[in-house]
Amino acid sequence: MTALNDQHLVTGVDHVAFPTFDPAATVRFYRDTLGFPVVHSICAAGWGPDDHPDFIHFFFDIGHGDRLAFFYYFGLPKPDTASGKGDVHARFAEDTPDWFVRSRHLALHVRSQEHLLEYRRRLDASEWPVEMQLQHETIESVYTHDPNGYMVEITRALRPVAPQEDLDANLTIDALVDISGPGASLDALLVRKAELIVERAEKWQQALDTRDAPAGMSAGGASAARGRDGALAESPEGPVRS
Amino acid sequence: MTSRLFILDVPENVSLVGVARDLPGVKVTVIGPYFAIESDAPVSIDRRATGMRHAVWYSCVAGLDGWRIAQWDKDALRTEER
Repeated sequence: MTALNDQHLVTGVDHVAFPTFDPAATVRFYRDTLGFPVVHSICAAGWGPDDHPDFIHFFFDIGHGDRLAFFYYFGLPKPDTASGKGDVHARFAEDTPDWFVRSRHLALHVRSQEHLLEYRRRLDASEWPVEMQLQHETIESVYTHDPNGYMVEITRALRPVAPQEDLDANLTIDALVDISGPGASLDALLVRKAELIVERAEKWQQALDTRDAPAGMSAGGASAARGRDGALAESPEGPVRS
Repeated sequence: MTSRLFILDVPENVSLVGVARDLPGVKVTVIGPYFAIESDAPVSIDRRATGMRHAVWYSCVAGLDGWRIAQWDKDALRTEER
């Protein structure tokens, strides 16, 4: 036990790394099309016992100090992407459902529709035009695939996340952990989650109302939580993001 | 026996709760930040009446107490006794 024992200490994505077999196109996509600055690179001779090739590890700034990185290995043959689905790192049979192939992707956040549409404009003027633009009640996104076949999404939220959505996420995940295993189903999850709602939702609301209300007063009702922001450090569900 | 469908109180779900409240025999109560759509008989909620689009419609249910879902498609969300 230390003073840091229960603290959430990480501050974001240092880097997420992918291999590339086409560094020139990767630079055209991320730096020259999207405008992500190159912020770091390592030129290294291969070393070690397992015949590691010489390589370049290079990084793009994706905002907020976070970075998207690539490895280019000299002399490593590119996988055959002529048939099947997927990207240069993960290949799938032709009959694999698209929703599964696309489930692993990188989503980058923007703050406004104006900013989203600016990236759409840049992509549409490039070799990698937007393949899909989607909007529903809570988000708006554009999608394309980078030169390596990795799906990239740029997305904006249409409203801030409400505190009760973090409670709801915690109840969902606790229910999922409880019911996961053979035979797991959405039905079983919703039944378990209802039990957790009965156990915890009222207490959570009281903690929120106590925190937000002026001294001696307590706001009631489900709508009281809507649109509030700020950390809910005393939440029974743990820290809640604003 | 009274059964309940839990719906999180977020702006996208308000129209669904309004439609449910007008159904015969249905009472809407509140438990923390959730609405509970309660009834002694199964309920059927018309999607078009809610004005909800698919992504939100298909993720609007937070919990099932008593009922199971018999239909959840582009037309309706309908519960039945277990």
